[in-house]
Amino acid sequence: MIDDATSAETPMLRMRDVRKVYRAGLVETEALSGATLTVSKGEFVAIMGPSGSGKTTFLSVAGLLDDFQGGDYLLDGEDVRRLNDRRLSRLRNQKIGFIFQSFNLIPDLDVFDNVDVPLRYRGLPAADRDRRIEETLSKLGLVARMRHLPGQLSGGQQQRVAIARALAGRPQLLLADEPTGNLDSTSARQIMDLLARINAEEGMTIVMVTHDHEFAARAHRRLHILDGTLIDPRAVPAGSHMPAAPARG
Amino acid sequence: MRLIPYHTRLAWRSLRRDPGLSATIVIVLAVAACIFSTALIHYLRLYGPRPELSPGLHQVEIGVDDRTLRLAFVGSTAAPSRLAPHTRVSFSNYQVLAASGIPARQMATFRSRLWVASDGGAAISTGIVSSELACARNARFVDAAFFTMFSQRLRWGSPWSREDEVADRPRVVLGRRLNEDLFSGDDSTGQTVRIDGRPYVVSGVLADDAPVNAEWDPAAAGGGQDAVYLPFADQQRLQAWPETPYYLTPVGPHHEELLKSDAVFVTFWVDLVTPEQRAAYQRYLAAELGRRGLRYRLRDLADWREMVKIPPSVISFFTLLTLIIFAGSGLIVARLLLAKGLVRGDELGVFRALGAPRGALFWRQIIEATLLSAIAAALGTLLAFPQAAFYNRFVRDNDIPLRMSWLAVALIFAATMAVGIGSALYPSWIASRRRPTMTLGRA
Repeated sequence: MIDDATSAETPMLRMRDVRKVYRAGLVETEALSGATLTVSKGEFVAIMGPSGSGKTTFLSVAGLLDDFQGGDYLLDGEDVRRLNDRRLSRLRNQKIGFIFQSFNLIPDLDVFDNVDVPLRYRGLPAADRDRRIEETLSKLGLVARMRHLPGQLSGGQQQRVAIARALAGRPQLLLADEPTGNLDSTSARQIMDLLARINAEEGMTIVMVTHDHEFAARAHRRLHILDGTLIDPRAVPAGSHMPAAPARG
Repeated sequence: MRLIPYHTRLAWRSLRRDPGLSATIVIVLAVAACIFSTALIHYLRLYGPRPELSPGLHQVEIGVDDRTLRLAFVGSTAAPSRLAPHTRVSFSNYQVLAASGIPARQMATFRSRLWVASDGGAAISTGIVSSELACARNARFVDAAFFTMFSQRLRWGSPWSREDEVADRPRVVLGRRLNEDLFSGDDSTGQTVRIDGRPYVVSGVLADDAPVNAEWDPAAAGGGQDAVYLPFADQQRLQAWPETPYYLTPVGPHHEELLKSDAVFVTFWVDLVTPEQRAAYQRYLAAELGRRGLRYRLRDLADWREMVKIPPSVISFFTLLTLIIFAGSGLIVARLLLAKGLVRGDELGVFRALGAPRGALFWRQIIEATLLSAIAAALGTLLAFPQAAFYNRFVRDNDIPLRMSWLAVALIFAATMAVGIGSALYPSWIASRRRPTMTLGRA
């Protein structure tokens, strides 16, 4: 349980004792068991853990993609348990950007239209959308690829498009689920450089799930998740058992 | 609302992404629509809306003793039509009625069988009697007012005028199908046709076949299309005998004897547009008919339609049955759309993650179904045209052909859209309820 709010301002993300249980018939699986975490605005947090430990579930709950059974969750000070689907969708659209391991670009939309998707649901005028998309693609060096389909791009380029899509809406919180998991080492390093730069230059809060210790080390704070419980290694007494670093991929 | 154009664009892309599945959905709906159309246009032919006619239209009934009526055919012992005494008057009574000068419009009619050929002895092209110069056709004698009183649409030309009648000019209006037989369906106005050997100039050509429920003469209802329309007065020139007169007493062999007899064969209609006209006409009937001890009745259009109602037909059942089959095709479409939604689960999950609310995704799916349904509706409606033509050519249960009216087109289109969109409701709801984590996690 990590509650490391050091700033006086409203934290970007504040979870307390959040539980998430999956039910399949009579079988119940507790994917998050009392997750408690505070992430300040502008912070870069890496979460590590073995497969099945609850990393993706944590991101789903944090990203308002999934509900939870117990505890409290305030996103930028707003209690998300009280919100209906429409409000949750708006909050997700306006405050959160997602980066997925397998990019999740829409295959038959070109780069421009992929980045356009979240802006469409924001209800921005066409001129505003066009300007934002071009600015973002320019920042990520993708202007020349604007009319390419995802299938015509390399893995690194596709992930940069996914990042552009996440950034174009100017969210306050970026949730990245193994953003380098499907990339070669060079592309992976470039993506990490990019995320670090976004965090440093734009002050965007980033919560990243990764298996890679090297990349996790670039975050301000590293957390571990094990059997649905978040653990801060700094808070673990010397000599206690910590989960072994799993191999990448 | 603002997302409709965007979702339409996405839906269009989605259709092109799964062309096989999209085509299957379209074909299932279109074939069902086509099957439905066959029963529907049968139904509309029988029970379809009737034209708006003047509310002042009245038919004059002069009561005759049913027991004394006899069919026209020699040796026939069949009972007369139930409607016969209610719909016809004798020629002498017609002359009394026509002389009132009160109605805004009036017209008399009866039908005969006459020999009709194109001018110059050209053979009729139907092949029915291809070796002969002329065919016996249904010829209807009417006053000029008939065409306006009963809203008859002309494709070409115009009816003869009252002046033509007064000047005794030989004018004729052709039915749509006779015009096809004699003139290959071209504009034949100004051409000459020979009727019982006499030349008549074509002044107009009707646009449509007569309806099954022709108000002007229930004896013509249900079939036996009128091929040619002639001025009423010409029945004397042509010595035309009515197709089905009903005799009260024996009639001699000469035409003059028929006209002087008490045989009933003329249907007589008047248009009494004001209450004053109706009152004046009632007084006229009382003076001219009541004085002679005749029973009479002025029957308005609503009464008339009630009296000559089209009887129940099995076609209503078949129309309902094909509609149910059509709705059943919606179940197949629903299953196909569910499969499509499953295949597209990852994409929908991404849209949810990027801020699309469930409602937006639901409507996006509905828009896609609407596009599919519109394509299927257009295809089904297009297929219905050749199917109706095929039916008219090879099956043909009735002298009045099946016709794809605008109403039929609208109903087929609307029914296809309703079935297509209705079948998409559940799959769209399911698709919009998918948890994005499930799909993204799998991806």
